[in-house]
Amino acid sequence: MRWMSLTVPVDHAISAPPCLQVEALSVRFGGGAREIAAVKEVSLRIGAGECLGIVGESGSGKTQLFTAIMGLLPQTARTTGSVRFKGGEMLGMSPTDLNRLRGREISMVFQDPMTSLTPHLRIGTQLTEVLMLHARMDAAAARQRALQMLERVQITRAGQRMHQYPHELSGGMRQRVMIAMACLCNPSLLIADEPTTALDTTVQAQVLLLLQSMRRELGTAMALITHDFALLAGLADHVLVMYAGRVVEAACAADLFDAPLHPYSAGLLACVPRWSQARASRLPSIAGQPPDPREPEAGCAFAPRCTRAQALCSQQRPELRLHSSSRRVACHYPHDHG
Amino acid sequence: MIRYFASRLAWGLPTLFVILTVTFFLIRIAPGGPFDEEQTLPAQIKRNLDAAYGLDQPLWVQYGRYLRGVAHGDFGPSFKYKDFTVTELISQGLPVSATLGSLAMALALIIGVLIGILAALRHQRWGDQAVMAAAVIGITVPSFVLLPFLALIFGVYLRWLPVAGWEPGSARHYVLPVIALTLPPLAFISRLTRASMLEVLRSPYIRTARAKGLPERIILWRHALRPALVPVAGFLAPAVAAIMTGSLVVESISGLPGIGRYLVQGALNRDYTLVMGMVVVYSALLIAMGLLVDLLYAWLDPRIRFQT
Amino acid sequence: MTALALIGALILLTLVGPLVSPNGFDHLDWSHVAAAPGFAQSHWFGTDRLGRDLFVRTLQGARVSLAVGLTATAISVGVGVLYGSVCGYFGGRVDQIMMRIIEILSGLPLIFFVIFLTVIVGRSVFLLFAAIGAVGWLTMARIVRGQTLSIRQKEFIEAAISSGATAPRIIFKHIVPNVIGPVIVYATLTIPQVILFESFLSFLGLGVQEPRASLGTLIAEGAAEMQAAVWMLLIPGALLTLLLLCLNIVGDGLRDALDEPDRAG
Repeated sequence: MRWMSLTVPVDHAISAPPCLQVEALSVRFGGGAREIAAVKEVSLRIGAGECLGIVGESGSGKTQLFTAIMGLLPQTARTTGSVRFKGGEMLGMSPTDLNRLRGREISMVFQDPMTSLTPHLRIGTQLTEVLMLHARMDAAAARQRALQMLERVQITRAGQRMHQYPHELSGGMRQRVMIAMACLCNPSLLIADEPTTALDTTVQAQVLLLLQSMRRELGTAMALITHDFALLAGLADHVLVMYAGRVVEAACAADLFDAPLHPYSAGLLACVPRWSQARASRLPSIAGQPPDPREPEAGCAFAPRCTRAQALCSQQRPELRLHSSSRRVACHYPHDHG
Repeated sequence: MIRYFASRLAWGLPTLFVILTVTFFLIRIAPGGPFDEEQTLPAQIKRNLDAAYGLDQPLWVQYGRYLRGVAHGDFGPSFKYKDFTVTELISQGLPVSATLGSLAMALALIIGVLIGILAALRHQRWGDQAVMAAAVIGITVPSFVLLPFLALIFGVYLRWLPVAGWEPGSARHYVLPVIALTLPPLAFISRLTRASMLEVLRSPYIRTARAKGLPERIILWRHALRPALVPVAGFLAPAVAAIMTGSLVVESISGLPGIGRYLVQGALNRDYTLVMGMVVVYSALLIAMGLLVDLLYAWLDPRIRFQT
Repeated sequence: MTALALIGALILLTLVGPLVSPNGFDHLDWSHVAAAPGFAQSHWFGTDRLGRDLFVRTLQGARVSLAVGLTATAISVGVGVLYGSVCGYFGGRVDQIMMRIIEILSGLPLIFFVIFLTVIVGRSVFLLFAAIGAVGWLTMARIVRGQTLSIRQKEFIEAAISSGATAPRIIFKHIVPNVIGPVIVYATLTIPQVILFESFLSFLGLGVQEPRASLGTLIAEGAAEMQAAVWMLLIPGALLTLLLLCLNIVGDGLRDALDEPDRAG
């Protein structure tokens, strides 16, 4: 898509202090024989103002990972590990303390704007309630600020929109409202979970540009969750590739796009359509299905679908280990770009 | 909103008219007159009686007169309560029935919704399961089994409340009938509320509200309650019908002098005009309640307002 | 499962019970008037004010209730399936008019209408069947119509039409067999409603007439005598509640079982 034409941003992660630091986070549902591990020992780090892309097929655990970080998982889920936001541990935090962070310091934009807004409340109410709660604004001030923010996300006739209900707005418009809502309190971290998946292609580009400009302007760190590598180009500083609940490759965006190490990353990148490809040729795809999360792990989870797999792969699970200066990969036989 | 209301109203009035017409002609077509059972009546007296009640005139004249009467709130004389007109009997009974019915409806709604919400919040803990098991039984036990049973416990054994009967202005006589009338719809509403609340709490917009850092209190009352009440509003019309139906037996058992008791007495006595008047009044009430319910629906879900 | 077994046991009891007992349902035993239940004499559930045996009368009443429930449900299934499949199959103008009729009918307070009918026609069990059947078929017709509409889109209906099958043939051979599932579920849920309705009318004295008994009339008699003879109220009341409870549980269970594949898919 567009990523070939955009310049790749410079890596400034090393200098920035960490905004979010996650250590060995695991999420499990159910118990006993029917236990499902949705996220397995994921560690990640997002510096202030930095953008981290998380890529994986649906079911790879990327949404569960961030739902867990936000403390939004149902009570049946068990989360272990550590989530530090600006140094403070978030796991096991009291609901009151958690609510002081959510919507103010960390906010989230969800995948489906059609169902993510409360249907019976006016747009204005849903925006101002955040400000009145977190910024202790009175109704008039909150309204003023909400209006500004709606205009900021390029919503036309913002004053009128404030009085409308979600169903009166188009999908792209609603996603803009969601973004405006997330940015109301100038959060330090914005989590965007497949923010463009439910939208038309033309609207997708607009929403991405909007996210990018909001981030630049507010200096917000961002986690951009997607199944589409193409979206990350030009946006993400670092990228995590997830498969079956685990991180299989972590690298800075430029390195990953140029030379993916893990066969799965390479496969995903190959799925991205390019202009250079002959029009008639079929889009490549990765054959097979992700593993059943109820099955016990034996060896590499990707092995059954991997073209490079050898005997070792189905016996021993590859650890995520340092490959070169700033890259990590979990593969016995990574691509060699040397 | 006004258009929506008008379109609903446009449905109710013809229905009422159809009911009026059908009831009127069914009665006239039916074999036998109201005085047939008084067999000893000489032919001349019977003719005089028919003339006095206008039964000797052509059908369409009677129909026209009846319609005109109903439009003025006059349902004609009762055939069995000879000193009263049907309108008098209705205006006597209606306040009692209305008190009974609206109390039952209000209690069923308020308590039912509250129990449903509490059960949903305690989902899969013992409180939830106990309440829902009780609700299944509550839905099943018919009011005509429940009321005598309650009267037995609280009236006969404990002597806290009167077994039956009525005195003007006495609240104590209403207690047991209201409870018997309230419980079945209450149980149903609580089950309905619980189920829809559980579903709403799992919905994406509630997740958004949580992600916004809103406290549970605001999430529940501002974001979750109204959508969760939509199915309950859908049940209101059947609930009104159920309470009206239930009031027939409850009034008959407890001796509360409401219109339900008159209807049953009228039916047992084959008192044509009385039953006819009652059917019309009940139908009008039901249709009016249906309209109210539609309005409530529109308030709960803004999407409905824009359809016609 | 327990509920289903209980229903089976109850049906069996209503069939066999009266045969086992030495008493007839309308036999007056003047030596035991309003006797309490017990196994000392042959009146296991006691007797009423006229000395009639309550064990036999209660089971007889339950049998009547069940019979009314099944028959009226069968009527409403028959009418509803036919009406609904015709609506859904022909669609268009026919469907519109037929659905309008249903809408108007369901706006009517049918219970009051039935009471009204008892005034005109007089009280008879036949009327009871007809009236109750009339109440039940409306919802059934709606459900069947919806199902038919979706089935009508399927290829095998197209195939039947193009091979020259007539409308009645298509409706009975192809559509009706395919809506059986939801119909059965809704029918099981209709039976307790019908039984409740019947006992309700009988309770008011507008249904089953003396000397026959139904659970409704027995409860009415029991309510009148409850201060002197509690068992006259409790036994038929408990039996009716148990019956309704089991039927409702079975109906709910069936519905959930039928819904399950939808949810999974």
